[in-house]
Amino acid sequence: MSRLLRDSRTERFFLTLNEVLLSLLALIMLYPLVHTLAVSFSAGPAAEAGRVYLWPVGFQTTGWRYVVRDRMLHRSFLNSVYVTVVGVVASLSFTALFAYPLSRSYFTPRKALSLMVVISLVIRYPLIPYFLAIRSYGLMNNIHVLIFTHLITEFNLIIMRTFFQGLPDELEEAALMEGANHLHILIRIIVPLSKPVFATLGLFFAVNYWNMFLHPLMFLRDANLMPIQIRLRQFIAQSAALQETPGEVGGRGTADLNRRTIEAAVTIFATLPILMLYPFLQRHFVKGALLGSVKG
Amino acid sequence: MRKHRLLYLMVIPGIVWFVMFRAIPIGGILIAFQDFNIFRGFLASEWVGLKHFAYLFQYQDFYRVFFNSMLIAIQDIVFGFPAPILLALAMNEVRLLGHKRGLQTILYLPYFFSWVMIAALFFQLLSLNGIVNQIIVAFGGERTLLVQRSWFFRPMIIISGLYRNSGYGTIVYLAAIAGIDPQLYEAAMIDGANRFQRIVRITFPSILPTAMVLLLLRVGNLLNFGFDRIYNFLTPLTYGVGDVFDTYVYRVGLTEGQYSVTTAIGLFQAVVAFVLVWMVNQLMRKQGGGLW
Repeated sequence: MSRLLRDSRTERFFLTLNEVLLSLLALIMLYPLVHTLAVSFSAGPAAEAGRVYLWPVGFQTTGWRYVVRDRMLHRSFLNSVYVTVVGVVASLSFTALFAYPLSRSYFTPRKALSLMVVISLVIRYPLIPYFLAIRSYGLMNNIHVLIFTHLITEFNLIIMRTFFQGLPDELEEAALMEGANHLHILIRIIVPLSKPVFATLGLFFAVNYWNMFLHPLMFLRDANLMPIQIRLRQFIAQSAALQETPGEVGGRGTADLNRRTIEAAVTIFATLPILMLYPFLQRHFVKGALLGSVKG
Repeated sequence: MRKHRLLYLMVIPGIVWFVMFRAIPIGGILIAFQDFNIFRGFLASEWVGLKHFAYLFQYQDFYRVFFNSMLIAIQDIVFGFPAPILLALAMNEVRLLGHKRGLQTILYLPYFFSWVMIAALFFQLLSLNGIVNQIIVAFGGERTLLVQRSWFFRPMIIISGLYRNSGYGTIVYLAAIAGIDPQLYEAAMIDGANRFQRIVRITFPSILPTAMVLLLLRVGNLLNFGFDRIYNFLTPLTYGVGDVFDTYVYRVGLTEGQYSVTTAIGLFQAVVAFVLVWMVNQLMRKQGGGLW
């Protein structure tokens, strides 16, 4: 019996090979991030010449000093923090408020409203009419447009509704008997029972808000309102433009000498919240990825 | 009924939201049949019937963009769909739990990066003196700015997609594998099946239904490729191969103000997407689980 369960020699060889290859893959996946971190702490010329790999060459903090100095960068970072924090709270509240009635079997318009959600999921709204509609609401160049447009996502709504449906009815019935109204029930009973789903959806909303790109690009004009992703994009686009005309690089002094380290520092800076929260969130998003496979 | 009155009030904000941000934009598709003028507005603009569609289907740009969108989307499925399956099968054979956890932590991470961030990381690697060019030179090739080369655009999009999504994509498959009855493996081992036979005969068939559903969903979303993903890698030199519906509509529609023609493109896109989703749903229904 025990001989049967033991792996043969070739099997053990392939198992080891498998682990080696996977580790190699993980290293390759990690390389861009570590490399960019290393560049951000390197001397400009070394980074420009491609002599930096996994460790800073000619250690310098020029890139990070730039990050500390650039007011507009701080501004856009704070804009993103604001949109993310307010957005997550608003989206969760709004979604819960809509998902709760949809989850009650005795709520008659439930079927019609669920159909509306599915239709909205299947029929994609075209970009131009979407833009024109939102502009006609007077939301252009208003930072809250980023939040208003994302108060609900169909997918998260369906997940939350499905979760609410699974909660036992008894508590709710008892509360109704005692004269509590549905808003009380939602806040006092349903929300506390749904902490895991709130954590998971909150995470997805947060990542979505932080990484938002097309919406600010479309709806915001004022540089003071721009979120961090747009600012980061400007750095990259500038540097890509410089690459097209290498002749100009020499003439612009130290800023150009250090542009690669600055760009690297800004890249890491723009991703810091995600990198810092990531270890704590892993448990939740694994759950979230599986929630996504639950049929609505 | 009366005690549930509050429920009716609770759905009002949601309904208003759906009307404002979904229904009205979908209804706005009608401007594809107008010569929409931003100063006159929707009601006063002139109706022109199918003029923009007639124009569109004679227009070379349309076919170029359509071809690019399809080609990138299909390549993305061909490479992006099997990758997490193979990765999940490989990760499932990792014996040390700590090692597996570590791998997962690293492989899931890029999924949370924005496309701007991923483009920034890739541009560092692909620059003239970057590591990719160093490898090319080491093998006797010529240094070149890959980001601006047409032939490299599609591979760059596919590889960055693999980088971001394939690790995270394993979660669903690993969960499916975890749900397999261990007795199946025990029975197979007693029958003398080795590890490869167990993977091919038990693990793989067990995750196949999950894989089929995910494949169908991907096909249904074929043209919803995502603006960010292309736009951040696109340069004027790669418009020829890289311009897809989303980026084209953004550039020509929003920045050049040709609202009606680009809405016609949007309508075309929405119809194709709807037909695909509908077909996928019919297929899934036959297997017992449609979306509606």
